[in-house]
Amino acid sequence: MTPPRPTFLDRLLEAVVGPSAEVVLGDLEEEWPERVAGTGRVRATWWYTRSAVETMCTVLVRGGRMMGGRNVETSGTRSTADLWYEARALGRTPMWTSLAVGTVTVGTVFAAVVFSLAEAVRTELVPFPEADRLVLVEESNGQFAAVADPTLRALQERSDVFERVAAWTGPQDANLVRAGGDPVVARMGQVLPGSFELLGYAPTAGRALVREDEDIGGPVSALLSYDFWVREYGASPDALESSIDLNGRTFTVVGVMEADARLPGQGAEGPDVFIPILRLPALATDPGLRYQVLVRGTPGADAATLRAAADQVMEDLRATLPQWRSDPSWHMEVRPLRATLEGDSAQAIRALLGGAALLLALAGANLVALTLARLQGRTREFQIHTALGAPPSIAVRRLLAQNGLVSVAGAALAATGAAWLIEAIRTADPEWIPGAEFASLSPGVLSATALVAIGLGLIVALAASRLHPRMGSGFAGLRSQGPDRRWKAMARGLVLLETGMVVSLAVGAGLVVRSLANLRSVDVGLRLENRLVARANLTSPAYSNSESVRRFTDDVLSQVAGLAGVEAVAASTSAPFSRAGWNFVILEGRDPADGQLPSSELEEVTPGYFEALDLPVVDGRSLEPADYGAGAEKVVVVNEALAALYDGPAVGRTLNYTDGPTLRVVGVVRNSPAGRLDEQPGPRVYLPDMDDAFPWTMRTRWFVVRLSDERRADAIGEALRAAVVRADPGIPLHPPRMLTDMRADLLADADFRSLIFGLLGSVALLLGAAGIYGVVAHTLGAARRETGIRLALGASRARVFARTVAAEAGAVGVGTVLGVLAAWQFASLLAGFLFGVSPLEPMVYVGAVAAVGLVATLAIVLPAYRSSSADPLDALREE
Amino acid sequence: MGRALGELEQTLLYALIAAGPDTPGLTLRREVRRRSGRDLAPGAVYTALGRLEDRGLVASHLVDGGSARGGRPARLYSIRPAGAKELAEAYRHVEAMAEGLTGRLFALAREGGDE
Repeated sequence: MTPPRPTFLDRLLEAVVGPSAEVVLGDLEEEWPERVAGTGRVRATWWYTRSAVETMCTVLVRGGRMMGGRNVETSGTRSTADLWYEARALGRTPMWTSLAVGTVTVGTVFAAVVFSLAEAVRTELVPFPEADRLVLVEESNGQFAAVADPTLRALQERSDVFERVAAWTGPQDANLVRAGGDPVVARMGQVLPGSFELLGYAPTAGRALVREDEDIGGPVSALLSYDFWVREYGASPDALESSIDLNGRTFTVVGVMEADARLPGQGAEGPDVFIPILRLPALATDPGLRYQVLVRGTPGADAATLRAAADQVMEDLRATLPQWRSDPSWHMEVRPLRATLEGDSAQAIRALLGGAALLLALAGANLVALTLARLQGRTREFQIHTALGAPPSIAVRRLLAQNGLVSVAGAALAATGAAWLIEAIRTADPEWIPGAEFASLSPGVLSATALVAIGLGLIVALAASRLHPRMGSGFAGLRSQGPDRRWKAMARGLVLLETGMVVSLAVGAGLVVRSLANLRSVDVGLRLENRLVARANLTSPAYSNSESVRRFTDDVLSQVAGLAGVEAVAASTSAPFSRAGWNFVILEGRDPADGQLPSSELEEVTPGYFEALDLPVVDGRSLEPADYGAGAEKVVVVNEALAALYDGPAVGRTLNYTDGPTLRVVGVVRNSPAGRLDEQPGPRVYLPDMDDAFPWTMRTRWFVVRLSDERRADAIGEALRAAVVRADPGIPLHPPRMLTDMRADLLADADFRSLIFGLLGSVALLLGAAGIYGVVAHTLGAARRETGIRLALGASRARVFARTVAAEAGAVGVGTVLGVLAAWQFASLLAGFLFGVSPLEPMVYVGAVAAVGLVATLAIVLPAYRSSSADPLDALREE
Repeated sequence: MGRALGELEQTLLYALIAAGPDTPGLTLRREVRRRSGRDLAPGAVYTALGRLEDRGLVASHLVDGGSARGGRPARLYSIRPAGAKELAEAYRHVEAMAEGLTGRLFALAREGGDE
């Protein structure tokens, strides 16, 4: 026996095609059994779907008659008439129209933003040719990972497996001087010749770096980035073959990279100047981790082959170089580039997509409620049309036209709102969404947004046409009736659904906002107000020893210390809140349990540094002037994290850096965050001097100035700049900043995240309130006659009010429970964004439920009050 | 002579000649499928037939459908002399253009299949 033909597109076909649809449906009905017999039910169903959709598209595109006859109204003219009619009807009800358009706008704007982010991640994060063949290669001991010079050269020699090799260093600040120009701060990076070619970029002027540029002994070449060339040289061809001085070394500019060129993971903040990775004899056996390395495997080389080849490289180096990576924890890692770069975005995109999907569903539920409510009010209108000879499909056609117009308007507004939000995201460039800086409202995103909005409106129209109790059988009779039980059940269902979704979104928003509050309250250990900081890089050869560095630093400090408005000034080799250089440290009396030495960051500071920052000394003493200079005992101050590594008090104990002198601890200061507020500060050592007994010299100087009045910041900043110029005209000072702004930078990501999720939660609350109010108001409005009769028969207003509220409150209660359960399940999606709060934090759930409960109660109480306060005579008079 | 007949219009007119007068649209689709293997959507067929009827090349009328069609009407089509004339004209045109070229045409088509 043949199963019945599917009919889920019949009504839409009737609405679009008009009377001729009867013939087409008859054909489909007649042909159905032979299709099922010939191809099976599934393929026959697909045939039905395809035939119906193709027929509708043909009619819509051609807009003409379908079956001859000169006096038959065409579907094209009928559709135009419907649209015009509905546009006028929408104009007469501005309140409903605004609510409906607003609902579609709000529901789709976040979807548009998430689409643009997802597209940016897909197309911009990894825009390189043959990206699926590119892999990142690292040597790692589980703690640190990069590639040393000998390993890079060995990888290059394995051209049988590694077809092309790219390598680069991260951008570092450098002092750049052009002939006849002032020194400027530029970002410099080293890059292996051929790297840009592997990534698909070519120079826009001059030439690329070539293999010969790696050799030492001749002029060293440099490439400029496009933005730097435009900014500093005005895009002049004179830049080519000109000389630049970078940190005291001379380079010849040989080319300018194209405008979009960037290295993986670097985005718009990549280097301004690229110099080649030189083949230096000193690096041939140096184990220092320096480079990021990207490799394109030979065709056919799979992941296992690449990994095996990389492992072999390490084994060969162990065999040929003494003590090479002798620690067995060292190993090679080979990771696909795309998965690595996109993986960081995946969680953020998933969480945002979840939020946008919920909001879309909420908007859809709202729109269904609004559409049904409006449909209820137009029952009489459609009854009259039908009585005058209009086909039964008129209501569906008009609904589609109505919701189509609402959706188009909503999509246009959503695109505008999305453009603004995307611009805000690009500006913020949050770290938790890698690739966000490339987000844009592309034609693809616009089309997807329009599709979502229009799809939402049309699906809701079809759903409403199915849900309405009378539409299926035609409108019988001219007497309008109050809401029947089916409508009431639907209304309760909508209220339940809306409440549940709003609770879920409110919980998510609450968790993220609570995280921000926790981050803001992290004790940074020092005073932020009235502190000005600025940096100078002493990278020219004149500062190759600590004595010259100290002279420069003391010169600047002495100039600034006496200025009006300056309470204290000091200098350090790293900024507050930032990471510093590190090394492994040997602590007195502590044998590493597993042979692993602890590491600590180290920072060189001038006298009065802790006092300038108000960083409290919790044990022992601060550094004093007597601790500085030749002949002074080598003492240090440590932070609480390092002090905790000793058994017992740290003051009086010693520590050594490998290849460094023995240092005695004289004081312990409070921990201060380094790099991130949501991480425990690591061990740190503060030294007075890193003289030539140390094998390295730190040449960055951060000046910290404690101001008597923050309003003097600009003037003192200018004075600081002048002091640096007087100390050495070839050294530029980075723009001074307030310490409060630097802390705000650390919070920027969390701030922005809270804004987005807070916005989602607030919008959800508003939408939910509007939806619940709309449904309840309409239900009560349609039941005016019933309520009027009750009041006329003596029921008290208070009793009517209480009954109404109780009936709706039940749906809100159940919806709340379901919303909490759903939030419980999906809160783990947000775990990566939370700080100091668990995804199941009870107070957040309680707060969300209370907020939603309050809003829902108001949305029910207001219409209930109006209904119970109405004059029963007015209601009865309508009869 | 107005606009030349399109490919779909010619196909349907041939099917109408094969099936005879008063042929339902469904039968025309079946005839096209049997002869050429093409599975046409109802919308495309009825729209093309509508255009032919507007030009006076075919005629149609509605009849009641039976239970096999769920009681829905069917539209029956017949070719008119003007339609036959235009189809014959189109056929003569193709014949004239293809005279003496069939061998070369199929040889070229075979080469295209090897690419």
